[in-house]
Amino acid sequence: MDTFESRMDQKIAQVREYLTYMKEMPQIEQAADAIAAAFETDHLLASAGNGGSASNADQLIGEFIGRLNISRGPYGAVSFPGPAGFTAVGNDFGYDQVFARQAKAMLKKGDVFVGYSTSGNSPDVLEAVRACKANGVTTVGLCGTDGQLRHEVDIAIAFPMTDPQMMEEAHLFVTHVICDLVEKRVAANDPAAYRVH
Amino acid sequence: MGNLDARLDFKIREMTEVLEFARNLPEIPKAADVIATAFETGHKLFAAGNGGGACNADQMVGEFVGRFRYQRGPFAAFSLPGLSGLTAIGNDFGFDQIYSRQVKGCLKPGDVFVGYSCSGNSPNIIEAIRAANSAGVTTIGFSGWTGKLYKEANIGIALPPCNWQSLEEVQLILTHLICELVETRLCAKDPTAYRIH
Repeated sequence: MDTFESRMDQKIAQVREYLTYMKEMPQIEQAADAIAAAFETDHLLASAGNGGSASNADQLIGEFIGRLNISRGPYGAVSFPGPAGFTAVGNDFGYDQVFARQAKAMLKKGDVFVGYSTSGNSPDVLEAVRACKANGVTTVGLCGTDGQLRHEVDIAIAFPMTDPQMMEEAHLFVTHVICDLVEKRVAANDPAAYRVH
Repeated sequence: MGNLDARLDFKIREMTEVLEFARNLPEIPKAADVIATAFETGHKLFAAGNGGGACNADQMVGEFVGRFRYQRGPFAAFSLPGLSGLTAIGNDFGFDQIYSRQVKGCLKPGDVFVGYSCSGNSPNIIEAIRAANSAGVTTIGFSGWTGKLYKEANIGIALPPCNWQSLEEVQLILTHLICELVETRLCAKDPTAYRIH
């Protein structure tokens, strides 16, 4: 069994590698641009994933409703659905509809949906992307090398990796960078906003 | 939007520094030992945080209840109350009690509570740590170098000063590593468990 220290050494090397790789991903700034434009024009952002990807999706929303580094008003970001809605749809329509059904009802042209899937094949995330595209919603996907998601979204942030935990960590870095870029751009036009961190 | 190179170069340096510091912290493998022992002896784990800390806490619980690198049975971990419990306690007792009340109701000696707080001073996490300590529960705290959390937890995982998003990112990486160490130890004794990642 690897020791804690040797696993940490591997982790440090991996983190350095994917942070370096992020420099070659213009899709990150493209995604931030699309989200900032949505907020500036009173549109919405929604986000979804499963497991660790759900945590990342939730972070994206939380930072926009709350704040990242700038004190400002909230931006129009929604997590969906809550436990009652999630279990209702899962139970009545099938697990693959838990995000798509709400996307169909709520998201319109000008809104943005961000789907997270380390496999690239989570049916509930793919169904949500398809429902969004049918409504003219801009779609962003965070994933790895494999799977369908990168081929179906408008903006694919796809890391050259297959390890799910490493991908979840890389996706968190991307999430924070996107939040920071969006917040800076939108708050630049807000005279009441000021930096807190 | 401006290119990300300078930001990412800074992030690479900062992450390397903080992760190398963490690599030498005996508290991390110690936390994994304590959690593994809890699961082996029929006890349970409860993890909590706010915002990004809640996402990290949720990830820890999800990886234990689901699976991480091994196909195996579930480990006994649970997360904060669902929305109706959370809003009930927040509304009736105050936001600082949302975790401590559940700690008092559900955790016994031999169980483990893991709290995440970047500031080290989030009232609902400090209240939960105090309730857990009073109940004879083993407490683990993730924070920076400021605040009360790392001093009041039995095992304080305190990371050097850095941008708070970096702190959350490192906490996610350490959360994953702790899950890995716990799972590897428990699965070594389970003839039906096998590696999948």
